[in-house]
Amino acid sequence: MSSPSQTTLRGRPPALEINNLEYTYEGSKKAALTDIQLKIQPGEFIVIAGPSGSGKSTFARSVAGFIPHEYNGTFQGSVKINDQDTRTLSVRDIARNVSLIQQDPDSQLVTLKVLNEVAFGPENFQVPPDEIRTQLEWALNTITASNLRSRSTHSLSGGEKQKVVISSFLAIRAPILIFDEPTARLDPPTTLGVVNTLHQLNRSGITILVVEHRIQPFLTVASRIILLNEGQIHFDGTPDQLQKTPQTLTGLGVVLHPSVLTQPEPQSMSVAPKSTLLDVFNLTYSYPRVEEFAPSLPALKDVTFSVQPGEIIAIMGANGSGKSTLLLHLMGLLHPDTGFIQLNGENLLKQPVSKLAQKVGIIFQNPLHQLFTQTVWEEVLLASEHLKIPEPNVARDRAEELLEVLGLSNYRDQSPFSLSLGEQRRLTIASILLHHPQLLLLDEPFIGQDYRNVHQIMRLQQQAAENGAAILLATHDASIVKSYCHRLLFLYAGQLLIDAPVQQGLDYMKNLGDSAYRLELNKLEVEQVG
Amino acid sequence: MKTRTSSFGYLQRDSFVHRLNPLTKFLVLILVAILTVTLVSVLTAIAIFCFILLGFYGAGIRLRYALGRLLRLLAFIILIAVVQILFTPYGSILFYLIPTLAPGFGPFLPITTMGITNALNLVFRLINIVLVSALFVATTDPSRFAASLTQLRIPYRYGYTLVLALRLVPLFDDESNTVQAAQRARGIPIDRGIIRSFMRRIRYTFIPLIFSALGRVDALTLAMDGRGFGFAKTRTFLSYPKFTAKDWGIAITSIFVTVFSLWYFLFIMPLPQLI
Repeated sequence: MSSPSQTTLRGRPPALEINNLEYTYEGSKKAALTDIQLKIQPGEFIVIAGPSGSGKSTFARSVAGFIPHEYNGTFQGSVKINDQDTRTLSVRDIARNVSLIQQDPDSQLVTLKVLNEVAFGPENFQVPPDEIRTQLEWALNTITASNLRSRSTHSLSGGEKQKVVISSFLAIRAPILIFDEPTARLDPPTTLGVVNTLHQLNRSGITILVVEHRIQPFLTVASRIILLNEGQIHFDGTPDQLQKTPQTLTGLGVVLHPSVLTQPEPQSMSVAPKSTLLDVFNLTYSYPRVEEFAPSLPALKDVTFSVQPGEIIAIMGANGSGKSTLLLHLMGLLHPDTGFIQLNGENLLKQPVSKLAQKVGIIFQNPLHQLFTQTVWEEVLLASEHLKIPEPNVARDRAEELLEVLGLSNYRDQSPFSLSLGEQRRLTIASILLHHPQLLLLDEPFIGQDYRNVHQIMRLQQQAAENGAAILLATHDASIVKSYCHRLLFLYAGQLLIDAPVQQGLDYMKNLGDSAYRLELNKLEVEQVG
Repeated sequence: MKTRTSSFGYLQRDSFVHRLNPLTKFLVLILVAILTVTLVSVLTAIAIFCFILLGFYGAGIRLRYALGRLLRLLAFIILIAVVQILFTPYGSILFYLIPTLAPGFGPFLPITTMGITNALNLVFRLINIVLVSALFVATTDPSRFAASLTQLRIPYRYGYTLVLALRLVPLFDDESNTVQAAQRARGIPIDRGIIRSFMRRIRYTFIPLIFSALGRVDALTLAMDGRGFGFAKTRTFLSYPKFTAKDWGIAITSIFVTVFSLWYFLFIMPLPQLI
């Protein structure tokens, strides 16, 4: 890896030292972090794991100086970067040494073009233009994003945006990088790519901290694993030590090897299929082209499949392969260029979406777009109020039960917007389960959920399936698919490549491997030329 | 939903107008605005209008895009024209909108030559200002504009305000589409009944949009601080737009044309009052 002259990294790379750190958010009674005592040496690769709400993100913010500078709360103890207390530095000074790459890529893109985006950091630190150009090339290459250089930022897909955000921080060349759930939205091949990249960066001398639910992909590259629970350090040691004492993980909702997830294999479907619930025929769709540089491949191409009542079906595929687009079609929110969709034998596309909502429920990737009311309680009941099902009394009982199962009962009277992203996602799940739709469409519901919550979410889906509903679930997490789903659909560049029972489907996916992906790509290019 | 096309903002092309220095374009924008405001005549307004169309042509942007900008303002433009026509009492009277209804009652609302001229004037000026601004925004990469403003020693924060505003527009566009799709998906009809649907729209669209906007701005501030925005009084830029011979040519010509027209039409040969 060629490295341009490091303007931000002079002399000895800084070490991190945290003493008796305790932090309580404004308006909260419970400390988010207590009694954190840590020393981190230059060049370490640390994974920070723990259940939802254990203080992982708070920890990351404290190291990056966002806490205490940008949040009002009570801060005790100290965080020192190279013997300098973060309280005496500004966030911008700290940013030279510590980059915090947060979860939502959309809210971290500042400019309109990829090149400007990656240059933004170095420009602020007054790096001369020639040097910026070298750093920029290096940053884009490192994350294999050079092909995106002339694109405009808002036309990128979610995965591409994430790549650009990562390069934009890399270009600053801070000696400490913190990633908040970097792989949460990524498909397994891309996840591996990210892990490799982080490994390479680490070997070039950069200190890496990764906040993650899934620690398994990092076990071979991390030098140290820190488990947080209820704001305290629960475990601090090497991956080897952790693997030797798996009991440390009990009750933490963190799983070492997802393949040994506690769930038994799903039983075969409990409802004997009589007729199909959903039929999709030859669905083809292209998004309108945004700009000359954006590729104009169809988002869906000739997709055909049927769904029986009682099925739980996983939709897998790389970022940008058409998973979300497919789900939006099934909710009637997008209309195909060609092809058609039948629900219970009726043309789904002819029904107004607000009517269709009685039979179909969808949750989007970003829950913020789907929350409308002042309190959590009203939010759960919203659909029944408009759809007039079920009866108000039944609805209230059901709402009570759903909030309880999803761990949201305590927030009943709070604003939905005050919840964490993971909680908001669970709230949207509760709100579409209330009136028992026949078809449930879940787009990446597991981002920001620990395995306890994943299990509760999937229990509810299983109940719905037992009552004859069908569930379509877009996810990258093979272990969840294996434990809870009956069938697997695998999309590649908008085409349905695999439609098989789960185990068989996963095997096919393995066999396809990387080389098959490339083969398929050649085919597409040839078709385009022809 | 998710049309992924932004309706307002920079259109990435490689054209003569796009390649010009942002400051040249900004100068022309200011001069056109000055001429539009000071020269009150339909003839000069039409001349400026043609000049702007030439600009769109030179930028390789279809007239449809330009007209699309105007369509949004159509109601406003018509209103202004109607008010001018109805309530300008000067000039020679062409006819009365309400004739004499009874002896001593009426006629009312005279339509005058002056009223029509004023209406045309205002409409054209409005159209010209909107179009020339749209042309500037569509052809100027905000980051380049920000860079060239710092060359004039204007603090970079001002330039970046524009960059951010333009960055947020497509985002909000997408988001309001997504929010409305989400409403329909939850069984909230947004298209039944004018008043009720309007109230629903306010309640169910603006609340999530405002919350997500506030969240966005917060997150964006964090993201900018986290990458050192405001680290020092000055910052560098990836590239600084250069002043080419074309830029000098256009800047000098347009200053000359402006000064000459102002001098000529204001002092030597005043423009006709009517048309």
